[in-house]
Amino acid sequence: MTDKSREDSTTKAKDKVRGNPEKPPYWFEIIVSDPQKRTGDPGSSSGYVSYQISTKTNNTSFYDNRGNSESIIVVHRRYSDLLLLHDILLNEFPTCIIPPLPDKKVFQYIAGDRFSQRFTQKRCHSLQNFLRRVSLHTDLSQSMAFKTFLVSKDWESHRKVLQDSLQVNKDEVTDAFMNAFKTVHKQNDEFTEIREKSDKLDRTVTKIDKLFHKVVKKNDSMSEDYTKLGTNLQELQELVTGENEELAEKLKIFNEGVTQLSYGLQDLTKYLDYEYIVDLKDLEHYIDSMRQLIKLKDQKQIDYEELSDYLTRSIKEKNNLISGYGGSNFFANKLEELAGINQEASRREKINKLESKITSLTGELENAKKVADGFEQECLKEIDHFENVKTKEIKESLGSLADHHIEFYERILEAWEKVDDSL
Amino acid sequence: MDRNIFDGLQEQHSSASEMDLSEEDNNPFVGTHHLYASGIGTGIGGARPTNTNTNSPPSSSSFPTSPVHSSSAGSSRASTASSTSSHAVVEAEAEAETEPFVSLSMSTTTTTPKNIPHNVNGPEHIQIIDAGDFKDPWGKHAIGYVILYENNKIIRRYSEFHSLRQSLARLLPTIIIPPIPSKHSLLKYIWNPINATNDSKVITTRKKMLNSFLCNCLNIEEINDDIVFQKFLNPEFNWKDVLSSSPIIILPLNNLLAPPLSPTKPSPLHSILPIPSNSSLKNYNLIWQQHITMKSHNEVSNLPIEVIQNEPQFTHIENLFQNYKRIIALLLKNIRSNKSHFHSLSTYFAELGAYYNAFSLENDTAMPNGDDKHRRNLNNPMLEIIGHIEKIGHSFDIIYISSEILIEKYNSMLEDPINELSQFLNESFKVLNFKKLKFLQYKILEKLIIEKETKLTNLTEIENQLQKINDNLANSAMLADDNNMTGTRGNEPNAVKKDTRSLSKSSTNSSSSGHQNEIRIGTSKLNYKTSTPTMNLNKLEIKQLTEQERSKQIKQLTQDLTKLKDCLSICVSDMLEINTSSYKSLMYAYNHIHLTIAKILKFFTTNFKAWIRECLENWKLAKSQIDQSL
Repeated sequence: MTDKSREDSTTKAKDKVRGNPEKPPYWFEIIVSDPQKRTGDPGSSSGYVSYQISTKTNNTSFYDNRGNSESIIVVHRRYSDLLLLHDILLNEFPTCIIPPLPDKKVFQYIAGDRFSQRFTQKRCHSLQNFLRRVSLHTDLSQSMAFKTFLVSKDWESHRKVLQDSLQVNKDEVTDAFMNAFKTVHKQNDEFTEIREKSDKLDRTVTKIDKLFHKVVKKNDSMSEDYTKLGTNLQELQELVTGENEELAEKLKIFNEGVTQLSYGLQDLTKYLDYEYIVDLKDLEHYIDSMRQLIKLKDQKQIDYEELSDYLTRSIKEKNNLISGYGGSNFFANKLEELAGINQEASRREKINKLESKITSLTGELENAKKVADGFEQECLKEIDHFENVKTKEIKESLGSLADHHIEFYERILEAWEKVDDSL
Repeated sequence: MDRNIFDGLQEQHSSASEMDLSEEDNNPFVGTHHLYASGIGTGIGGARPTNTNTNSPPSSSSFPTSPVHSSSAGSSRASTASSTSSHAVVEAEAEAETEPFVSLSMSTTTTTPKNIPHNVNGPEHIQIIDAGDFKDPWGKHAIGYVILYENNKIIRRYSEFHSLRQSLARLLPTIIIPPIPSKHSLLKYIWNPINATNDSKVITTRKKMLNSFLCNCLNIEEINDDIVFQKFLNPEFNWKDVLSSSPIIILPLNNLLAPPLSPTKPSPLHSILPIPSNSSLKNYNLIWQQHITMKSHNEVSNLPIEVIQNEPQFTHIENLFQNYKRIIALLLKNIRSNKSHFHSLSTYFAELGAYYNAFSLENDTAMPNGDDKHRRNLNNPMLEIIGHIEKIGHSFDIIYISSEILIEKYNSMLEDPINELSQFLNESFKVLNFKKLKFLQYKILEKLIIEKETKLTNLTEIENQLQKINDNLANSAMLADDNNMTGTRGNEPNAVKKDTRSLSKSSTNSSSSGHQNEIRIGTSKLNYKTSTPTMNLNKLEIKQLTEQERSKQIKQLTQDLTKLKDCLSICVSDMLEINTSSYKSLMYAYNHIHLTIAKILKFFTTNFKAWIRECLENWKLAKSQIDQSL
């Protein structure tokens, strides 16, 4: 069975989870920053963007190859490196919700502005979200790949090895599509609820996300308005200068306020665009990842359900044979009779065959049941974890949303208080 | 005397807040004005104070209410108003006193005096306290504005304000009349024919702007002292009656044909002044430059030195105002676009508020259904942050509301006053144009005089020559013929030569001046003088005229010239009057504009700051609640 390998990893993972407390044993502080354009290798055509990843953790093993004085581990990685890490984790922990990465954004590649500040800043923030999510997960954060990714000074060589190991298991993915259109017969209420909830959340987040897009656009035109207003006020001030110095001074001060307003709004908009909207988008993706996992779980269950169907059919057939001629088999039996085949002997043979089949099927079924149940448990655990992370993230992003608004209003209040005092 | 005003100007520049009205003392035209006024206006102007005479002793006026100073004017007017209130009561006002108002359901109309960025702290307090539907004496419904002034309630309609303004503009052509909100646009009528006139927004705006108009008027001495304005603020008077009585009905059709400071008392000469066309205004600068550079004119071209000296000040103000107007238009456009952007932004805030609130509710309601799944629900971490989400939603709600309030104020704190400023500037240009037209009028007169003088010289020259010839002939006839034959022969060709020379000179002269006449005079009243058939004859024809006709023409020309010169001197004194009076008014506008800009800035800042503070406090509250439950 193709499930063998997955089963192994599942049980392995399960053991690990059971042995560990809910919270990951180590904390991480990961900052992705400073996206920088690098010219690529001499061979490759275009350059790439490298991100600086700074890690701080209480997991001492991370500092093994580094000097003790170093409290922050700094490495440089590019998007494709993170993608590799993501795929490895996906491969290694099939029962976990692997945090999503930002889209590849093929369009941006074609349009040629993948080096623009807006694009790289947004991606930078999104990558940080990814790494933080991984670091919050008990199993993922303790995986070798994660550690190597964050620490290794010789990433290039590791990358090749990791890439090769990934190639081997590529086939498995096709399996997932086989049952894509089948649905689970007996869905657990819990999962129905989870699905409903996640759908709702997804809808809300998408709407808020869209609205913030609009807000960002409006803010841009507002700040443009203020810039224009500033220019006109400047001109008025120049006109007034020869006429009424007092008023000219007032206009100048007022204009200062308008300029501050324009700048402040620009900064706020940048935050909304580069961080808050990215957070929302990442949350949407994260919800998607969770749904993927539920889908995978469903497949396990479908496997089990099919198997059990098959088993019931086989048992039924055997019982029919034992209890004598089944009505439907009348003509077949007659034919066999005419052919002079020993009915009794062939029936025995059939029953024997079915019996052995049933025994093996029962075994399989038990196995599948174990897998499905295990997976379901895993899944629930993962969803719990997802809920925690999601909540933490929403809380944090709401907090920072409030912080940035406070910062903005404080800044312009200060500016306009000055204006008010001088007028 | 007059120059003092302009010397004092520099001080005014620096002290913008101070409107020095005592300059009136320097008015040099008190005397001259009387010269013109005494002749005619006795019958008409009896009930009307001569507005230039504000500083002449009250005894010179025949009525007791004549205000000497604006401060005393208030009390004296109040006394007359109260004394007369018990007497004849006009229909419409009778209704007014019995409260005919059905107040509209507009909470905003119940005045917020703070919102009016204009001088309400002046010595004379005036306020529009209400606006609403009322029935006029003919049973027609209309929107009335209740003015509270000197403890009187006066109800006037918008159209009455409008006609007041128009009348004032004609009565006081040298004064910048404060603007009122413009009439309803036609488009509005088409769009919403039923509600166009009593749209509560329009009424609120009008109420505010009309209030500002009245305050501005009270601050302008000339308007404040005007009898028409006083009648407007007196409930005893039915406005329709005021409009159909003197001084309004005796106003000249064109202010150029009347003394600028008292248009109801024109001298007979005023009515025959030429009227320059408005289209000639664009040539003003050129004509003025020519006038200044060509010093070679005869004595009629000499403008008073003040007029020439003051010109740069006028030019400066005009340029400045033009620039102001341009920038103000830009600013207005700016503010409007910002307003609409702000508005859509705030609707997004409203939506965000709604979604965040829904977000929090979603998670809240999800709980009770799932009682059987207690394990999950008890652990549901979302429970913890429902409050946060709700708080953020609440923040957006509040920001939406306070932003909407701020946007609503955009009208009253930015758009309306800026609109008013731009109207003020336009009114200033009207006054400036009046001054220019007066100069152009002067130039036409000057041209005519020069032209006529040339003709007169020509005629007299011919007359003299003929006289000489006749004398010579007579002489030669008297003396011996043979003796002086050679002398006369020598004389005659000489005379003929001279004749032809002057002939050619005058013909070119007359043709060129005639051409210019066509341009500048157009269909002026003076034409009938120039166009008497004999005037258009050329030298040859003149020569053919009989002696009688010639002398008749000479007589006519001399008469015309004296008349024209009288006209010219009237024109010059008009110019002086206009210069002084309009300069004063322009300086008022100049200071008013600067003050208004400063007020707008201040007013906006105060409101904007309040908005920022509200938003800030709101977010801080949200943040503190988020932090608390951590």
